[in-house]
Amino acid sequence: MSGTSPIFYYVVAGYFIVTVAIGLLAGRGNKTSEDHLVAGRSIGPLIGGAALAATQLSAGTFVGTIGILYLTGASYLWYWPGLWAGWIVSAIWVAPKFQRFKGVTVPEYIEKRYNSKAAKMISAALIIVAYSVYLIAQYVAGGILMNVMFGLPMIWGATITIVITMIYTLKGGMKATAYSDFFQAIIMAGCFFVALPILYSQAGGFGNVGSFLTELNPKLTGWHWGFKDLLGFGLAFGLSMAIAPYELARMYSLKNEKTVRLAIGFSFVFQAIIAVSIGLVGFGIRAIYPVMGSPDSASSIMALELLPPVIGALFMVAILASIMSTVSGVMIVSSSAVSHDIYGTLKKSATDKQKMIVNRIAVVVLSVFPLAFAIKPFDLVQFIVLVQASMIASFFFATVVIGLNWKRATGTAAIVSMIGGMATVLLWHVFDKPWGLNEVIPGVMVSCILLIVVSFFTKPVPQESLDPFFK
Amino acid sequence: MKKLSIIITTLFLISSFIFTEKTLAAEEQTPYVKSANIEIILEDNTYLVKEKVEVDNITESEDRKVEHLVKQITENKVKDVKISSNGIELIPEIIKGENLDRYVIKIGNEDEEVAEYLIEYKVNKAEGIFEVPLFVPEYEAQGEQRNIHISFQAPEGQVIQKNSFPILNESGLNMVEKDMANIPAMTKFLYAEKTKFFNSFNIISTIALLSLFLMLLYWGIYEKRKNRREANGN
Repeated sequence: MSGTSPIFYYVVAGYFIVTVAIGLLAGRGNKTSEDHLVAGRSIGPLIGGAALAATQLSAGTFVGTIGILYLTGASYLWYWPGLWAGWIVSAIWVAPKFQRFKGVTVPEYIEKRYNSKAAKMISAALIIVAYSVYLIAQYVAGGILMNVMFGLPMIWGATITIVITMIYTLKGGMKATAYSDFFQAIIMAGCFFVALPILYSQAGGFGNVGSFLTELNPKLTGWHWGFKDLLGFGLAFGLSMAIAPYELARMYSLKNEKTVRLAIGFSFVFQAIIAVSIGLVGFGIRAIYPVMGSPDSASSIMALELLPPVIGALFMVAILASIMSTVSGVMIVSSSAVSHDIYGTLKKSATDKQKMIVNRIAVVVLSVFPLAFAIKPFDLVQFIVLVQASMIASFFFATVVIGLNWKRATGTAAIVSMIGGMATVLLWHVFDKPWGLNEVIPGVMVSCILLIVVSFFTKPVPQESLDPFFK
Repeated sequence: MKKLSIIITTLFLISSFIFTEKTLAAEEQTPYVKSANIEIILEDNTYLVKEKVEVDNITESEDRKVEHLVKQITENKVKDVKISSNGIELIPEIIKGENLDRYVIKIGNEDEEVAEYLIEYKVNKAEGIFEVPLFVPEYEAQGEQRNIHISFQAPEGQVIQKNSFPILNESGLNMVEKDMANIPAMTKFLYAEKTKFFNSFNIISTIALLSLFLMLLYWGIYEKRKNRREANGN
């Protein structure tokens, strides 16, 4: 074993117990799909904001981003403005309309807005694919974490993470995930307040860290990434965040439009704390470990070898929390895509009870399936997350943002746009990003152009499809 | 239209996974640190450091050179550096910097896959400063194996404190050993005549746990009252 203090086991076990308890208590009394999938539309701004932040802040943040910041330095922080721009787009043009629509799933919006069951099913399938890729990254990160902490093989670590998350997601649904996300967000933000002073005290202070890193490699405090790369990262995250299905689904659970805007505001506060903190963590760790085998293990190494056991365990728990909060959000969206959007459309006579049974089966299957790919991941955690962000942005940005704000967009155009955007991303990825451009740029461009052009040549949707979205 | 959309959907599901499995970079064979054994002893206000490093795959390096990073800790200076391999002394090329020195040596014989060398040096210990800089090779260690072994011997009659770096799980010891995944830029083993319970780490840890517990308690009470209000209102 790794010489890990026994305190780690107690803190991690305690975290699992508290999270499952919060989730089960919050989610009791769920009777219908509406209770299970959208928390009865009862979530307030603070818990809603924490849930939005916690769902977004995944392994990609605590493992992947810290790893990339460790490896490449400060210039990588410039992707955050892109991400926040995406949230602003959502707050102004997307989220309030989604909340007002009062749907249950995101493809349901596609069906209503574009008057097309086919578009609904295709969007549901694309969500399942993209989020399965996303889950691979989370499982890899969970596996790395458990391996570093307890010496467990990666597959076991990933399995434990999935099983714990599945318990409260299956039982408590959206309300369980929102309440447990609030707890997880507190841990994520809170642990940095104690970890950072200790880290920088050991590293010799801010000034020392800065001058050491500059001398180690000037690009660490300068510009490792070029403009094209940063534009690609910013756009990939920003464009996908504006319309991320796992965030849009949470909009349905909020009380009203005012709550939506407040929640996004609270989410910004959480995110800002995290953004600054992970930057400082990446730099601090590099000053103490100038050479490291796997950048993705940087945050785990800090927790195990640098921080006192209680704080180190809380930090590891924060990473686990980031993984589990995202996995639970993804589980809800992916499983509802199967049960309500695909099964519910193919079998019109399906009852709510039957759909909930299919939903629960889908949670299990869709959670386990990406494990096979997590055993041999295709890239660093952060870059897997980037690929799925590009996929999501390329098939959803146009249909959601343009569709919610332009009445002329048609159902046929939505289908062509989604397929065209997704195909562009995949081909761009296969051909190794021609001209060094991130795949999200051509993907979103193609999907927007297709939506607009094809709309002009196809039949407009009926007025009743537009009524919920255009006052 | 429904059948067509099912076919398209299925094709996408299959092809997407094939495409996204593409490996972005072929695995390269590069030299790596197979193991390192670092002994630190404190005698008469001077740290005596012996760092034995084993580098594998050294034949993959064209010139068989290894650069070592040595952090400059202002008060605790590195001196009397001696590097040897198989009993033969190696003369390093030293590049001095403001915060970081670089020591470059050429290691191993022509056909040797694995090269082993020993770095011995002394570090002056300034009053109240416990940092000891280490020589960090440019090649990464095999992270999963924890093959970096560090030991520290405090002066007689002194016990090493838990709030050292790397962090210790036991207190009250005069000598400690730690297995790590990577070689750090320095160590910081604090010692005193007896174990100090009220150190910064313990205080911070207690405050953190207490804050979390109080927050959970307050939240639980708030939710219970809210549910009661809603039930009475209904």
